Amino acid sequence: MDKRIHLFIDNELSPSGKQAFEKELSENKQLREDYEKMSGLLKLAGTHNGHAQAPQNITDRIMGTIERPQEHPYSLLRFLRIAAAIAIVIATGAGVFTYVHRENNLVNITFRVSVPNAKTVYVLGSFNQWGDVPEQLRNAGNGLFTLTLKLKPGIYQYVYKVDNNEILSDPHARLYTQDGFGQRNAILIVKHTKLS
Amino acid sequence: MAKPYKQYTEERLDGEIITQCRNGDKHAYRLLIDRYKDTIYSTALRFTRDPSTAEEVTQETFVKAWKYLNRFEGRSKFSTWLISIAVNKAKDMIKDKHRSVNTGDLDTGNETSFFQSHTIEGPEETLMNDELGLKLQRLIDALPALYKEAFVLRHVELLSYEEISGISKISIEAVKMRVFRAREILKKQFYEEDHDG
Repeated sequence: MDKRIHLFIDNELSPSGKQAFEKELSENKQLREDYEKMSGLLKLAGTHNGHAQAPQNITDRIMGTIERPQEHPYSLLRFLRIAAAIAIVIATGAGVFTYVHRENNLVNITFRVSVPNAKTVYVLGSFNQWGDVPEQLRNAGNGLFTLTLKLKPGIYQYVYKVDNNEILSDPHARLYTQDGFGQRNAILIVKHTKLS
Repeated sequence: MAKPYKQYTEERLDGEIITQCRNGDKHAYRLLIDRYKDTIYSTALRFTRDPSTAEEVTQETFVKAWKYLNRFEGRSKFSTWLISIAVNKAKDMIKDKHRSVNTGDLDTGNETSFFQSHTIEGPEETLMNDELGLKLQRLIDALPALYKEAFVLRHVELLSYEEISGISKISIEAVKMRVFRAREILKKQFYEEDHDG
C-alpha cells in the first residue's frame, strides 16, 4: 500500500506533498479506494473502543490498599494549621458545608460567604450553567450570605457575583483553578457519600 | 449571559488535584481514581482480555501511581501516565500467567475476546453489538502482540506516536512502523473477509 496514505492520515505530509496527494486522490481510483478503506477502518476502531465500566467498589479497594501516609514530622504544625482554618470558618461563618440528602444521593451544599455591605450575592458555577439559572444567596445579616443547593456528587467550579458587578473568588475554597482570564474559580468537590 | 468562567482544562484540574494528593490528601486521590478508573480498566481489559486480570491491573496501576506520584512531572497528561503504567503492568501479568500455566502463545487468536464474552449494559451495548465493530475487534485481538499494542494505543486510546514511544520504550519510528504494519494487516483481513463472505 502507498505509504503516503499512512502519512496523510497522520497529517505528516509536507504542505506540498499533501496537496499533490489530494490531487492524486481525486484522479487515481485505486488510491482513493485504498485511502477510503483505511480511513473507514480507523474511524471504526476509534468509535468501537468499548469503554467498559470498572467494578463498582474498586475505588474503595484501591484506597484500602494504599498505606496511610506516615505521620508527618511536623504534624503539630499541620494540626495547628487545620485548627486555624476551622477557627477562621467558625469566626466568619463562611465556606462551603455539606451533608447528604437522602434522596437520589443528592448532597446538600451550603454556600456561605461573608461580604459586608453587599446587597446581592449570586453563585455562578458549572452546576448552574454559570448563572443561566440564577442562584441568589440569602442575606442572613451582618454581611453573611447563604444558599443551600442539592448537587450530585462530582467536581464543580464556581465564583460569586456581588451586586451584579464584582466577581468574587471564594476565599475559603480548598482548591482553585485559573479561569483563563486572570482570575481563579473555586473548585467544589461533592463526595460520593455512603448513607449509613 | 456570557460565561467567561468556564475556561479550564482537564489537565489543569488534574494538576490541582495531584497537588492536593502530594500534600497527603487521600480524598483527592479518590477523585483521581474515580476520574480514570473506567479508562484504565478498559485499557487493561483490551490487553488482558480477562475481567479479573484487568481488575487486578487497575488496582495495581492506581496503587503504583500513588506510590510514585512525586515522580509524575506533568510532561504528559496524567491519564497517559496511568495508561503507561497499566499497559506495562498488563504485559507483566500476561507474561506471569503464561509462565505459570504454560499455555503457549497468547496471540494465537484462540482466546475469547472481551467483546464477545461480556454484555455491557446501556448505550455502549449498541456499539459493541455492531457487527462490523465486533469483526474489527476480533481482528485486532488476533494481531501479533507488538502490532496490537501499537495499534490499540494509537487508534483506540488515541495517543500520539511520542506518547506510545514513551510507553513501549521504542523509538517513534519503530512505533510508526508497527502501527503502519498493523493497519495494513487489518485492512487486508477486514476487507478480504468482507469480500469473501
